[in-house]
Amino acid sequence: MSASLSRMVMAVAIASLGPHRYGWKLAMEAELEEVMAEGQGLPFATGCLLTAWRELPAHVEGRLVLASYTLVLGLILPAAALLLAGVFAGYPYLLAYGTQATSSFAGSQMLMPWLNAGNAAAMPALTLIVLLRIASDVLAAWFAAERDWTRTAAAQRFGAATTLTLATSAGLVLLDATCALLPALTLVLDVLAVALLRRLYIAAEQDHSVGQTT
Amino acid sequence: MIALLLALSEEAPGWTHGYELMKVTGLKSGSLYPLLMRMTDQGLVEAEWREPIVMGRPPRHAYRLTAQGLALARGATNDLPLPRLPALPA
Repeated sequence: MSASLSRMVMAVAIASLGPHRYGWKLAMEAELEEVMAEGQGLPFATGCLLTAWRELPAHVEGRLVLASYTLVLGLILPAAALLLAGVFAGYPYLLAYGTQATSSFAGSQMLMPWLNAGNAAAMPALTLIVLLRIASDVLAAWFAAERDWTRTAAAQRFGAATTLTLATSAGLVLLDATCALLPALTLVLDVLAVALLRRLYIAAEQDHSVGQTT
Repeated sequence: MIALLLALSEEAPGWTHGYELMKVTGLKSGSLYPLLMRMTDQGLVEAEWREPIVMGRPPRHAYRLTAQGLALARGATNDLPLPRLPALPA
């Protein structure tokens, strides 16, 4: 158990070290076998993992990994969490402000009872749309971290489609599309974050190819 | 770094493995390997692959000081403060 855990930690450490430290990856891996024979594998592997993480800002590949995880964990996933919190909080942003205002202006709470019942019936469907949008955000974050730009774009297109569906449905059912403002705003943030990340990777690849040709 | 320099200089011109260096210096792998990497980058330490003593294990990295590293180690030894001796009776 301890040996397999040590090897797992070492595998993460090795994956985190840049290609310019290839020899050191092999050195640490070989040393682990010796250290495990004396039962000190896990502390050794943990130290190697810390070494690898400390080395991340020292090479281009590591800086890109740090940038992608910062954007994914600091922007895209919090945006998805915000939408999920909205769902759990009972849709504070899915209230039909327009209908309330109309009722209030007319001085009657029962002016459009059929619309209120309609609102209630539409909520599960709207919830489902928001949940699909959250799922698309999580997938986009996952694919962006893996640098799979085709799938990231596909997930974001799906996210844009759900946001548009939410705005249209809410506009038709609740006579108010403001509930789609937050999903739309987070979608813009996600798209900007992924575009920035993609530009960083393209710039790094160009630098790398220029460095190889010169 | 000084502890590592001294440990390597004591073994010079012989080669030492990472785990042995950890034992001698008391450094953890999270401190030892960054130091070894920096010192190798600066040309103070050289590394070489050594065949394993135990069959079936992978080749190990062994380390030793370069001439530049040895000079630095000597300088560091000279700069070390002398151990405090007990005061002589008057």
